[in-house]
Amino acid sequence: MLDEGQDFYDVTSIMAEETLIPAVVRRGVKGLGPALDPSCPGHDLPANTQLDLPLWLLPTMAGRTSAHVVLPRFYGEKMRRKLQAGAHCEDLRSRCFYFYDVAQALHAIVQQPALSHLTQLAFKGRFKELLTKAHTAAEGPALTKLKGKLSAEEAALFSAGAESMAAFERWRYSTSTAIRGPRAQSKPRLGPARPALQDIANQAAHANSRRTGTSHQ
Amino acid sequence: MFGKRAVELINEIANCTPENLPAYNDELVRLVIEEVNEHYNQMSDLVRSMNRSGQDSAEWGMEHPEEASALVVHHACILRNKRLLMTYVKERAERIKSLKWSSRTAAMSIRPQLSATEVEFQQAYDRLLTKYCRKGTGVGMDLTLDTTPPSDPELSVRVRKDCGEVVLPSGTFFLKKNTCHIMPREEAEGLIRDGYVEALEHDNCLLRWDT
Repeated sequence: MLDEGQDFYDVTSIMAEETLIPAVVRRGVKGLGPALDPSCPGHDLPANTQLDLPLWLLPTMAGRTSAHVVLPRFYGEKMRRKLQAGAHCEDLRSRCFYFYDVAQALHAIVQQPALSHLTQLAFKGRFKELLTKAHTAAEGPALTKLKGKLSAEEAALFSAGAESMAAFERWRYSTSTAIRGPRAQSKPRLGPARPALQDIANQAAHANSRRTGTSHQ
Repeated sequence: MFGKRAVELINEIANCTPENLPAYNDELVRLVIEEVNEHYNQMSDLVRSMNRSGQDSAEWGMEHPEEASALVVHHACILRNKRLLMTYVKERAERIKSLKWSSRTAAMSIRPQLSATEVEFQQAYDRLLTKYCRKGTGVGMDLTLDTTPPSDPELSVRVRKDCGEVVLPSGTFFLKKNTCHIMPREEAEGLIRDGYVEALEHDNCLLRWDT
């Protein structure tokens, strides 16, 4: 299975496609019973067998054997309610390490709007905290706990955010002469002392009195 | 389940740090190719039975749905194994190339981990790069030395490991641990990357010209 725009050699998408998805095979498959379903007693896979298929085999099976794809539990109604209650608390890593990639691939097969809504809900609920922590949090038990809940895609975003902040800090506090951050810039040199405002007012009054011929106290 | 062996190959690469390369798993590659051959043989049997029936493929598929399903599953498994094997080879080749640019010693130390074909590839890549860097045939400078644009042609370095007397094009240096030296940047780059010396900021250097 290879979607348009997907890299043929991408290791991450290859690993994501190994995720097992429950399905019901409507037509039998000759000679591949034990290979596809280890619990299959016979040589052939009978029709209407429920089994777990890897994501890469799903489009083939869905097209040829009219396999009915059952959405995994981590994309189900219970998960949706949990995400609505507090998306940032949910441990996506243990449920499905490639949560968003698998959802995207599954959406192309099952075409269920509920699936795209669920992934949007998860991402919207988690992105803000993810990015804030990536920019501000210091290494420690809290950060380790947070990283332990992130899916592969979120972990990549997190490390990109942390790296960008580290690069910014390096630039801002750099002592290099090549590029200087705002705080590292030297102070501007002072020019000649400017007259005080009171002196300017006195000079103006003096000039005025000379024009009118009256003395000014 | 089909394709599991090939995924083990990809796992080997994915779980390895970028500066290392796992040994070429000849045995597992052979097993994956055997699996592909097995799929091909079973596909050939199914195609022969289709040809014997004298029907065209659409009719045969309608009459024998179970055999037709098996045919497409075998085909999908062959394509999957092909993709994984090609990714394995390409990832390894990319890593051999990147190690040539990042560390000379690492590029040499991974030589025992490579297959005969990969050694040939590494040598050919080295020859190509050397030719490109040579003065008469290429740009005339070693591009693997300076990965970032230099700000100063000379660099202050502190020795991290005792190396004894080192003869460089600019002169002879006695590299004793914790001593500081000023040397041309292009000569220091290789020593820094191999971990013998570390670069110093000018303010920290004890051997500045003006002190």
